[in-house]
Amino acid sequence: MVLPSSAGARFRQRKISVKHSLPVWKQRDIPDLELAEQQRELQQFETGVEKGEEEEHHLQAVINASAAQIQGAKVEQVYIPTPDASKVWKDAGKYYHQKFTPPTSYIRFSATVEDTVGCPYCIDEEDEEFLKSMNEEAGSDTENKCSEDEFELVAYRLESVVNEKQPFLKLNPDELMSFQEIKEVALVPDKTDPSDVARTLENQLNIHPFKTLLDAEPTNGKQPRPLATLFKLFGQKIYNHWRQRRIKRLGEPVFPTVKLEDPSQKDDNDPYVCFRRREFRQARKTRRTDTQGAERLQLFYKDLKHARSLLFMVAEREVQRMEHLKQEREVFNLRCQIKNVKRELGIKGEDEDLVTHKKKRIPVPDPEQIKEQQRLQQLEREKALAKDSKKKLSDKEKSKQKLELHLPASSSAQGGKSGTTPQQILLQQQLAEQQQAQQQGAATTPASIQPYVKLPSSKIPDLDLTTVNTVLQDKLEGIKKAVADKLSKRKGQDDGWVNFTDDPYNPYFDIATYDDNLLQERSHLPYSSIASSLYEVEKSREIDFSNILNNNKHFGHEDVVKINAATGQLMKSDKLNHLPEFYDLTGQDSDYADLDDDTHHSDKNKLSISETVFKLRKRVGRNGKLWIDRKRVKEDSWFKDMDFLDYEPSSSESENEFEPAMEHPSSPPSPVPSHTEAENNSMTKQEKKRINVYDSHSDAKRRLISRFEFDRDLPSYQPLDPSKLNQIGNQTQAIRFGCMLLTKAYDNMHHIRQKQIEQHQQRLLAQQKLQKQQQAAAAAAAAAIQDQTLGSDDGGMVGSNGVVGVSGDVSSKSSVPRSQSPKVGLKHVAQKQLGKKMVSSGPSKGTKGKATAKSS
Amino acid sequence: MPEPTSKNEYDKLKKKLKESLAKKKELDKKLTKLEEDIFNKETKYLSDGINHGNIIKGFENFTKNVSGTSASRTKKIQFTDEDRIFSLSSATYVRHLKKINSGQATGSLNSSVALLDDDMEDADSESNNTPKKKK
Repeated sequence: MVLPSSAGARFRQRKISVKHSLPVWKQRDIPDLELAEQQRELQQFETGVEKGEEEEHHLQAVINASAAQIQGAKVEQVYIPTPDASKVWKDAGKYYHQKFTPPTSYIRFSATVEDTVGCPYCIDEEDEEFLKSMNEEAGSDTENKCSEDEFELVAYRLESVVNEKQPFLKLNPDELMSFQEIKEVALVPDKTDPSDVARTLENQLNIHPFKTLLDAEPTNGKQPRPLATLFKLFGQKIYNHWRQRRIKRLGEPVFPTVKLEDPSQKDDNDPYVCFRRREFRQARKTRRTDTQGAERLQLFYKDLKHARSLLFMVAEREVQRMEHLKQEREVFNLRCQIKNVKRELGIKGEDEDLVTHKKKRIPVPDPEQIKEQQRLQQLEREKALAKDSKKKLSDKEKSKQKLELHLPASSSAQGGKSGTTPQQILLQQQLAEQQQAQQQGAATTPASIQPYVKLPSSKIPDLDLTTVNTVLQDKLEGIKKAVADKLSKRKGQDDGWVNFTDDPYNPYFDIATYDDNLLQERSHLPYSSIASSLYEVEKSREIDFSNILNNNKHFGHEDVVKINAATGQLMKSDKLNHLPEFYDLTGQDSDYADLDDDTHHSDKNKLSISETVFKLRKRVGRNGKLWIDRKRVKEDSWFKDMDFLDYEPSSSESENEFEPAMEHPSSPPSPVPSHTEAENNSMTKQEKKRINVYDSHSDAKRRLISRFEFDRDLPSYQPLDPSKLNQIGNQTQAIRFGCMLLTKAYDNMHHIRQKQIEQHQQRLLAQQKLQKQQQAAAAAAAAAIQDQTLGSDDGGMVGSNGVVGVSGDVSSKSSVPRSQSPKVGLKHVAQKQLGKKMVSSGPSKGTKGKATAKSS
Repeated sequence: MPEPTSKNEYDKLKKKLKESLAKKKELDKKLTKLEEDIFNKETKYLSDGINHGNIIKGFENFTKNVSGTSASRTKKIQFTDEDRIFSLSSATYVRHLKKINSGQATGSLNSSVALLDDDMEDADSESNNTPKKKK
């Protein structure tokens, strides 16, 4: 059995208890164990109905019967009674006419029954009799006769109004509303009534009568009249009849309705209640879900409203479409009539309204028509011209003109024949303008471009023909613009900042390795982390920042500062120059296009280099000394320009002369060799000029320059880049630095947190102390008296031990339940409070202790 | 025309025809505008209902419990042109759209309109076929 919840609950095994005697079964006491077991299982069958309804009479009968059958007893087959649906009513065809023909597809239907049945009131025999007599009274006038449908409408409205307004009518049926009262309510449209939808739609869409596919055909092919007129005509009479019936029924509705359950007075025993409510416990909900439901309903309402308006628009569209079709039909009919009339009267022309015109496309007129028109125009003009020029022109020209008359208009326009007369030229131009009004430039002189090709005007494309040059130029412009955009964007990012980085706008990837001699073991290169730092940007520039950094001027947001990359001086603040410097990487730049001199151009765009480039030569000198010669590759103009070089640096520095630099093979380069070198250099000079080396101011300068030029204290590095100082790659450096910061921050945080925790603990301790003291005070007051002697013995100790006692007490807080320790602790506290006073004032401490305890 | 016709009658008729033609034109304009309005409103409606559903696809997401995390889990309802029952139920508008799309060759409507059109043609051919079969 699969359902343990119900089955298990019913046959729970009880615990064996000593208090209950267990029956002892013998074989003979049990008739048939197997059968009993079977039965037991049988009862576990799930009936499939609610627990409370398992008691139902018929169900029980069936269960019992089947159980008995299994046990072997012969029982009659028992059924749960169901309504008999086997009978066929033969006369049905007489009353119900089947007009339904099954469609080929599935029937899709979403309307409710209430939507389709029409008026819910059904006329019965009594009503029919009354209706007959009423109609007879009315006489022969059909207007005064009431159809059955109309009667039903009125009666239903009467009932519904009273049901709504007088729900407790059955308590006192005589208080039924009067006809006037009902009429007032009844003629106000009822919003909840499904028929109201149709009514509002009828008004809004202006369709009379509003009929849907769901509406039943009226019985005698006549639509019932509106309620208002019906009430006016028959209301009072029908009301009397209906009132009498309703009172007879003790206020219950005349037309039988389904008896629904009244939720306030549940009556399970009433067998006629239809659709009983099932009770189920409401799941507990949070308030949030409550509002959610409301919100969802609102959303739903909105959605439906939106959909309704859409549907309404669709309906409106269809109505308009119908009107449109009607209009079209009317037009057609009118045209037919007019045609007839025209034929009779013999009128010709004026046909433009009689034909349905295709929509004219405005940009492309009908070529044939235009040709025709143009030809006509030309003919007229030619005629006029011919008349004018008759006297002036010779016969030859005349014939020429005649020839041209027969040429098609386009050919004369595009033929490019040189006009013989000014009139003709004028004419040609006019034609050209007419034909190719949309074409510009080239089109005005068609002869020069397309001298031999003749196109009908309709086939000439409306495009401006472009040359390859313009396309290429556009492309170039586009690229330039894109680059300029990028640059200005880049500049925008720097807004408010001064960018000291190496040329932020024109990145270059001129990466070179250091001099070869740095690498001692090349085989380690792939595994060396240092190797990455061996690459450097070759044409790096140093900017002297001292000028800027020493300057106290604050660069505002608005300032755009430009720095001379070479000297580090502020050049100008050009607000107007929105574009950054634009180095031309490919060569010709539009900005420099006017500079014809190529070298000048390249000079201007050249990146200035702070470090001189050397050639190095290694050689072994005397005594096995290793020499490394350095040679300047190119004279740097920058050095020449420096103002402190009053005299020309000797040409010895250039080109072919090698300046020896001493270096020991293994030791790092030291400043010593440079000194000697400088001295060597200066010595030669001194010999010429005979000036004391150490007095010479210029020589000092010279030495300085020399040192600056040639000496490197460390194998080359960028002095501004701190990460290069210890030869560690940028990334490594960044990571290390980041890690350092992180650990530092973490430590800080940890420290702070630790402190917080400590503070918190201390606060807690203090609180506990306070509480303890308060508690202890009372106890101690009593204890103090009792233990006076003990206290006096300990007195000397307490003064010093007091704190220890307290802290011990607090730490033993968790072990408070121990019976003895708190008392001792408390005592200590009290005594500590009293402190040395107790010791000093000896005999009076008992009373004093009381006092302090109280006060605390 | 049984009654005697005259120039007067003819002019009257002509005037009437002119009037009704103008009226027809007016109606045409109104209709196109209405159809466009429907299309736009429908687009809005369908895109509004991406999360909770619409009357074409149903409101399944409504009953689902929408909590913070499951909001993203609920399947979004993508609407296609087949859902455009409001605007595309007009044959003239379908034709109109097709014209637009053939001109621009852009927009998502292209394929579905073509589809719709195919359907219509199918329907036509079916309706053409059935009587033949009956015969």
